[in-house]
Amino acid sequence: VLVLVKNDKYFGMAAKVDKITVRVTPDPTAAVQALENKEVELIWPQPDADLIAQLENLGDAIEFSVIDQYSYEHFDLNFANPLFQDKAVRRAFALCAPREEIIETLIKPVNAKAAPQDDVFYYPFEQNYKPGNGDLAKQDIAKAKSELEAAGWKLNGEVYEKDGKKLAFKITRRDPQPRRQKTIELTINACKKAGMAITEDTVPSADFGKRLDSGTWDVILFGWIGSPTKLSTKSIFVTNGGQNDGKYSNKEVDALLDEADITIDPAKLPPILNKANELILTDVATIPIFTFSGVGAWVPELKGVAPSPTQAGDLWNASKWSKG
Amino acid sequence: MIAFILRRILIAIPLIFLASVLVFVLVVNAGDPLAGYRERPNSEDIVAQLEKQWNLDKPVHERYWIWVSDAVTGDFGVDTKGAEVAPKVFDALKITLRMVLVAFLVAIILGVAIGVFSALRQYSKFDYGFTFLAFLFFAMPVFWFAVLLKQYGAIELNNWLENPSFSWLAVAIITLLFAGVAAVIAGDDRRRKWIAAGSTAAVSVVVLLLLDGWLADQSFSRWISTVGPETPNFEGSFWAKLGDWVGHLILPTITLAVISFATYSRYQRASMLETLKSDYVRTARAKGISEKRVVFRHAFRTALIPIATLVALDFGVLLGGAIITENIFAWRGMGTMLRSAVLTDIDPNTAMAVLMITAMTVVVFNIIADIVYAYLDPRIRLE
Repeated sequence: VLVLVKNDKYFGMAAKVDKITVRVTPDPTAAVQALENKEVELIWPQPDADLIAQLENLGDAIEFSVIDQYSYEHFDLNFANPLFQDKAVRRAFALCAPREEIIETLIKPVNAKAAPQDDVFYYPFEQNYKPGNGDLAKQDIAKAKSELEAAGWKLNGEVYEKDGKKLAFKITRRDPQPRRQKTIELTINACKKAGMAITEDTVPSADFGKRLDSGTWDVILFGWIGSPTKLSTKSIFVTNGGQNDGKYSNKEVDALLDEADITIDPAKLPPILNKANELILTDVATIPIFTFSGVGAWVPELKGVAPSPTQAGDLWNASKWSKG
Repeated sequence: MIAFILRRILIAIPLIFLASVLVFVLVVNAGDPLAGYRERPNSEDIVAQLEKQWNLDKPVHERYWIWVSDAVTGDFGVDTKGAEVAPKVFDALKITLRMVLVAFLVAIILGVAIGVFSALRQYSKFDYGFTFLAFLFFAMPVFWFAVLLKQYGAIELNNWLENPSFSWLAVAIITLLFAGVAAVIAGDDRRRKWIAAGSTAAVSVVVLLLLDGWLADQSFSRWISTVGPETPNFEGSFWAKLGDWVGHLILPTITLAVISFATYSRYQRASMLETLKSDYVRTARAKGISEKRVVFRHAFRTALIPIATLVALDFGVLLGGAIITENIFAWRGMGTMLRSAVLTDIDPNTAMAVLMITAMTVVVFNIIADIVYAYLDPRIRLE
């Protein structure tokens, strides 16, 4: 239990609430029931479809808001694999990946306003969000197939082949994770129609980090946690960057990110990052899928709560809260 | 008696040591406390330093010797975050005991009473009714029951208590229910049945009406709580604090008691039936002793023997195993501590402390069971 007390000696505007007690409740259902029983006045649990349904059932007894968080789910492609050194293959995968279907099935029940994310630096709720993947934004299996055939791939039965090599690879994910299992299932089925033979590969959660670092994967599915400071993502996309496990390398992107690194004027940063984003997405170094959702729920007597995606959590404006 | 107790304690000591060796080997092999550190880049220095500090580089028997030589002095070591284990575990023990003790007592009293009556009124509606309930409670998943209990027993009840009133329909239903149960308990004689039912009905109506008046004057302010052992930073008189504790304790107690009660009532019923069929009870009846004396002075004591053994062992189980209940009601007791020490934090010292306390509790209660056994069964004398 953590207790935060108003600082009487603060020189600025005084807070209206004297004391905030923070309790940890491991079970989300228990948290919602505690809110309903008015034992706690604000909760921010991990959202899932059942939890949102529970909150909706409480009707006017509580207020809640589902927000986007500084976190997005994505497929990373490994450039060390000769398959992905062929741009046509990368583009074909981006064109067959069923992003809309994944969001419709898995995310819309939680956040009805969810939409695919098309920017690796800026999030959809940020001012400078600019989709950069051009014609890769919409799923188009026919286009994927025609691009593969133009690059010399021939359909052998169900799967494309070129120079004796099949268009087959694995998608790796953490285990256990039911939502990602479903995501990969949907992707396998969709890309089968585009002539790709994809299989699933799982890694126990505790070993996932090591596996990601080692680079022994073809395509990998996980989430990045971001923040308003954009240059923390530089090491993901720069050549030999510490977080660049897919070994992506583009000199233009490197130059842009180096320039962004030393840009102090915040107005000058967005155009640079938007350009870098366009290059990264059209090169298909990564395929962002959706933004994670968060939820905050509170009793109507508590005023001033504004759920926030930043790492400060829902306490960020606690000094502006008032009760009654 | 004293000699007996001393002898049992003497035997218990090597038993606990053996248990500690086995548990230590298992816990040490349960996981790598440094797994999180090893994953990070440039952590070789920290890993090496912590390995030395936590004696992870030494062989198992040396590590066990270090642990045991500290443990017998009461020093259970330090956990992976540097906090002392002993105070942490004793705090968790206090919380778990609070949750478990009342439930335990309620389950025993109710279980034995219902079991005895079921045996006396074998094959009656009362018996069938409680058999059904017992199997229902056995089969019920704890987490589901707890969630429903919170919804209706806490939230809805608190809502009702804000404007409490008994409608005439509610009064009628409750009265009929109590009268029905009283009639079944009263026995086979028609007259006794009607007297029991009638008097219970009258008492129930009067009580409900009085309650209605009294409740309207009280303010309960959402007394029954669903999470935590108490309201954090609650300031008030001793009685106010006690009231707060009770409000938080009601739901976990009902959850735990209901399942234990089912077990005890079945065992008591079976044991009582067997005792009532035995020769010495037949002799007592033949001698002309009243049924009431036969049952409560002679048969009951013998019938309690299997239950005494069961109950004593059950306490150790309850102490270490209320993990699900603790999770649902967000009480941070022994179960939560053990779970995080073994699954999330990989903390050998904490896991050992929790397991050893549970082991010692089981051994102590075993000794108590033997003493109670000797008291109940006149054929056994403790030497």
